[in-house]
Amino acid sequence: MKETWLVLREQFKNFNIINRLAKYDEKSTFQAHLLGNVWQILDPLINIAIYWFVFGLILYGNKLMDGYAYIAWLLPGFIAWQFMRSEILGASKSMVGRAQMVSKMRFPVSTIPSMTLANQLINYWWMLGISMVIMFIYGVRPSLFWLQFPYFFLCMIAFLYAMGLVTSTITVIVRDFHTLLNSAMQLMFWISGTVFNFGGNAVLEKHPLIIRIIEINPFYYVIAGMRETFLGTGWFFHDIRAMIIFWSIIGLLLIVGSHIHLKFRSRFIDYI
Amino acid sequence: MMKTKSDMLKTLMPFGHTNIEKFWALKGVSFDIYEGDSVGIVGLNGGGKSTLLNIVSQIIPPTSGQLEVNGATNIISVGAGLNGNLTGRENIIMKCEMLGMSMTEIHEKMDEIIQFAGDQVIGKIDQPVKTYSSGMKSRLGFSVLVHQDPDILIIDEALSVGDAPFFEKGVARMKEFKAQGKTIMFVSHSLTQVQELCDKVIWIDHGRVVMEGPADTVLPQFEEFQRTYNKKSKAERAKITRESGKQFSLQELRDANPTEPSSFFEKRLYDQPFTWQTKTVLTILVFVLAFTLAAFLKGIPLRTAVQAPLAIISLKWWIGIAVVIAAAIIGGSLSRKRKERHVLD
Repeated sequence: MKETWLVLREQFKNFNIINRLAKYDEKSTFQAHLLGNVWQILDPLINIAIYWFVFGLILYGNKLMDGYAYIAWLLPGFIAWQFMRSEILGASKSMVGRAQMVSKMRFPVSTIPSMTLANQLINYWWMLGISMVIMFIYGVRPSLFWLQFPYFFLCMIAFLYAMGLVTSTITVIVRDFHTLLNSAMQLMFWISGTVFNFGGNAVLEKHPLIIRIIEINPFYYVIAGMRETFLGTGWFFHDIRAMIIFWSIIGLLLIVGSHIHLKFRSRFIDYI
Repeated sequence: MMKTKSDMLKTLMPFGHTNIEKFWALKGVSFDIYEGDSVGIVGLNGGGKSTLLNIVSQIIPPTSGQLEVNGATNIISVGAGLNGNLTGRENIIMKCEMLGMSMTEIHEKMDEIIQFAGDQVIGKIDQPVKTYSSGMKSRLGFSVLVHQDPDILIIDEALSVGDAPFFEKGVARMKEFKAQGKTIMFVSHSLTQVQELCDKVIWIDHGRVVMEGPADTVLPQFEEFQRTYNKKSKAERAKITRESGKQFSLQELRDANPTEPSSFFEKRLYDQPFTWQTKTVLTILVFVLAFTLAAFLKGIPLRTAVQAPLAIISLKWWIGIAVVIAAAIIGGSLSRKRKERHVLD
């Protein structure tokens, strides 16, 4: 518990540095690109267009989802998914990538995954802004349900930080882990409920257990939550069970993550 | 010491101490350095000099023992990393920020830093660092670090990176620091450099302090040792290695220093397995998770589940979970009792 507290305190203490260094990260990634940072928004936009075309127009044939057009239904979950995916993959590489830079200076290494988080967050806000405009066009109006946004946002950040702490440490030691994670994220995309509405599927409805198993994963919790928030279909406190499951998974990840992180830190030089 | 990937993995296992070989880079090193001292640290390669500096500058925490540093430290070493994709100027800003300087301070010192790095760097300061030569990179890194304002300056062979003119500039800068009354710790293989900069010398070999004292008395003896070391036969050298490395344990160190507080000889937080509080919290979390999961999968509302817990998970399963957790805890404490293997045994 002491360890978790130590790691969390470091994040808050270094909040400003994390934010500023995240900007340099962005600059460095797109230094050789003609369009520069525009790619960070362009890439997910192209993705959205593809999924909208394939699922919205061809598969679902413009059928209404929870009372909204498919694009309005897709967006809140999709941008959350895009953010989580790139953050988790980025964070798992972050420690390896920056090891050279921080190995010879006094620097709180536990803030490195947060830097990726801060960096990706910039895109998330952009994407959120753009998708809000699109959602408005398709008939989504602000409602009281939007007030849940801070809660699900907190869920998302807590989950991503805990995951980042675990994956970045493991990746330093076993590089294969990043590749494995990459494949796992492919699978996760299809079962996280980003593009499918499991509720409306006739086959799956006969096997409620499958849906419940899918609903356990934290990605689903956040994505479904974001959807509920923006489309106004439910309150977060109505499903206490899912909440308990989600937060106890986060708790486990965070405790184990900070433990292995601190162990790793004491041997930092040996690993790299 | 981790020889293979699997050893690395074992060290991260959260339960119990792992049975990998231990290597003590420093064995019971103890010394005091006072304000204004400039101390040289000499010794053969692999003697533990850099480990010592890394510990003093708080980059790596010591496995055990007490470290008290009054004031801000700053370590200058050859491998100071820069980001190749950013320009020299951006790198300066980034490095300075990582070292905790404020934006106004950085802008004030920017020109000075660029000037110090030398003419070649000035010409390329707005180009990506990946286009620099390796010497220019080191000079830029050195220049950034040397413009910090620490109380304690730690130099790990950093003066050997540049050409002769740059070396002189570096030494002049060090002397300036010394004149300001700052504390300096200096590692170098060039004994003339050490002689020029340091009043006091600590000679470290195989992780132990061999000699400590004024530069005039320690340096000649170290020089003598270096000269004779190569002439010694392989067997003799191996003997020296064995003798200095053999039989080090915290318990022995404690017995040898009965007057010191016992907390000096305990392993620190970082290297310990889970504390029992953490284990308790983890256990509770696992139980809560298992219970809620079961209720969720069976589609039973939480209130009903709490009222009739056995209906959710039968007694058999509860016992099963308890047994697994108990086994993990007992396994952890058993593996801790196993004796630590030593690298030189």
